[in-house]
Amino acid sequence: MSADLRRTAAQLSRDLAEGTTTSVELTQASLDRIAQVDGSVHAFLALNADQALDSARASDERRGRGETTGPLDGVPIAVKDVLATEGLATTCGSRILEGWVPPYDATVVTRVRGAGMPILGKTNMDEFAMGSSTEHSAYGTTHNPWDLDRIPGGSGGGSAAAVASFEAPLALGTDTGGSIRQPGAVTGTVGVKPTYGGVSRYGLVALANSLDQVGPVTRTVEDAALLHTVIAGHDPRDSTSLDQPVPDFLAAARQGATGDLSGVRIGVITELAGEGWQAGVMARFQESVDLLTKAGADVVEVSCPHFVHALATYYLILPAEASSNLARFDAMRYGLRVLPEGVDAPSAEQVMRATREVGFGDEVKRRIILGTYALSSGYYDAYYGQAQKLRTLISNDFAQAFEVADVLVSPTAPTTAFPIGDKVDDPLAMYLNDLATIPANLAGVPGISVPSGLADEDGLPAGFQVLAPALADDRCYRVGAALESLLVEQWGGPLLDRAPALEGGSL
Amino acid sequence: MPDALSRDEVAHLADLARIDLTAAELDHLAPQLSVILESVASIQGVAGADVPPTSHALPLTNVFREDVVAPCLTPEQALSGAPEAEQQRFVVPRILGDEQ
Repeated sequence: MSADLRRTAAQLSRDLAEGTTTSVELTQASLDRIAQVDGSVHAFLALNADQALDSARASDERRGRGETTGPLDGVPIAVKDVLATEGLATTCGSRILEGWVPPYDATVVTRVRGAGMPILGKTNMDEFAMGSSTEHSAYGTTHNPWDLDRIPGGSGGGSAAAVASFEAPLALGTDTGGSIRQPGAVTGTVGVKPTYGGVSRYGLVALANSLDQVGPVTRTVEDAALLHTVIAGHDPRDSTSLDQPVPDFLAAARQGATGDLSGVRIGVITELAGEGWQAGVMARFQESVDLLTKAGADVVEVSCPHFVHALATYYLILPAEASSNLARFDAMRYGLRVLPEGVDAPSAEQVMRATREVGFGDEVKRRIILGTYALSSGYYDAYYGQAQKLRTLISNDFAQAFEVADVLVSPTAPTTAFPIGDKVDDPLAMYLNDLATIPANLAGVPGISVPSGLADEDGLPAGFQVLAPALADDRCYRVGAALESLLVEQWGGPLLDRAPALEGGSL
Repeated sequence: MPDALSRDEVAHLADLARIDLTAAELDHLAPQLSVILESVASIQGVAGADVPPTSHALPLTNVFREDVVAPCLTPEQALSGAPEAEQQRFVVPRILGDEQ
């Protein structure tokens, strides 16, 4: 018996069902792999070995009795450190929460535990999910398994790198402006942002409540559909959770994998391509569009004229919501408490100021101050108020585009992974990475990023994004799976098998 | 309307946000925030008075449930992450200023 970590979660599920491996073997193999390579990748902030193995043993015992909780019973998973995990440290990549151990689980964590999935540990991220490169983690950056000198994307770089380096078959991420899809694109993995409200946010440490959404990080579209099925559905603990039927993601993915897209109307978004986009990324995108055409899809160009303002809109709405959310880090009830120097009996306010100075990193301070400004008297209408109106116009653009197309497509990110350190002192250049992913968060629509191949100039992965109307996540799975099956056939195997740093299993 | 922030304005905003900033941080942040602000200011005037604002992707409604006693965190669990606790309570620094 063996546990081949290069197999997909769907294949591992079958291995478990056929008895060719056990959950304990799989979980131990993942932990061994983490021990072997995470010193180079730094995908994990905390490991959960004992609890994961206990969970794996329980899964094997269940299976031995002829019982399983579902297809992913016994398949291990990694969880982004922004999700509360009972008994397991949760830091959000920040010093201000160093050592905090939540007394409860996020609903998605409850659901993956309930599905019998051992939790391997918590993955690295930009502090409070603010960033596009995982360089803003207080605990050091994560490295891209394709090239260890490059960023793994952000803010969910840890989850993407863990999946790309075969440390975990599956991971959970969160996507506020692209933090699942953009890391997916630059690490050659699949990332899904579900419809806003389709997955519970209870126990997710909020960055921007109106934008955040939990979703799957996987190596295949089918795996994403399997994991999405586990975490989707109404949660009475989240007032923004939709009480609607969950589409059959897996059936849609399997239908797509047949490679037939007859009758599907695909809209190429004019505004999300062209000048400033890396040539190799655009070449892979165009090839993918051609493949979808050959699969029978009708491809049309659609214009979403207000998308050019999406980045600015987002960088007003997000800091405004974040500055309000992060007010809870006041050094009173949890987290760090720093006493100001040279003050005899400091007040709560002085302690709060000193704690936030030490506990928050540069990007978090930048955004809190920007948000405070955008919400302040005299500027509210010009900045935050305008941004809320732009949000209406961007949602209208989507609505009009979805009248002529079933799904919309674009490259996921304008470039491949850039070298670590390249943009860390240039916030505006960093923000540009989220250009193509942000509109979906503003409008609440679902999106998937599927690997589209390697850019010619640097040999690094590029991503193909599929967006669908709210609650039609199944369309993302159908089109994503069709593209994946056509591309994998062309490549002659999974893209990740071609990552130089992963060759020979050394990393 | 200013699209650039002075060092003093950043200090004031940090004060409102309850964050102490060092002099070096103020020097660093003020020009960066000005550049960001200049960039996001591009949306001013794009949407006219006739465009309604959208605060949220979903229409939000209040969610009610029956007011019944259900299991919840114990005091020990609720206080488990507190920097300081005593007699099942959070210990906080003084909250009233000298002027009180």
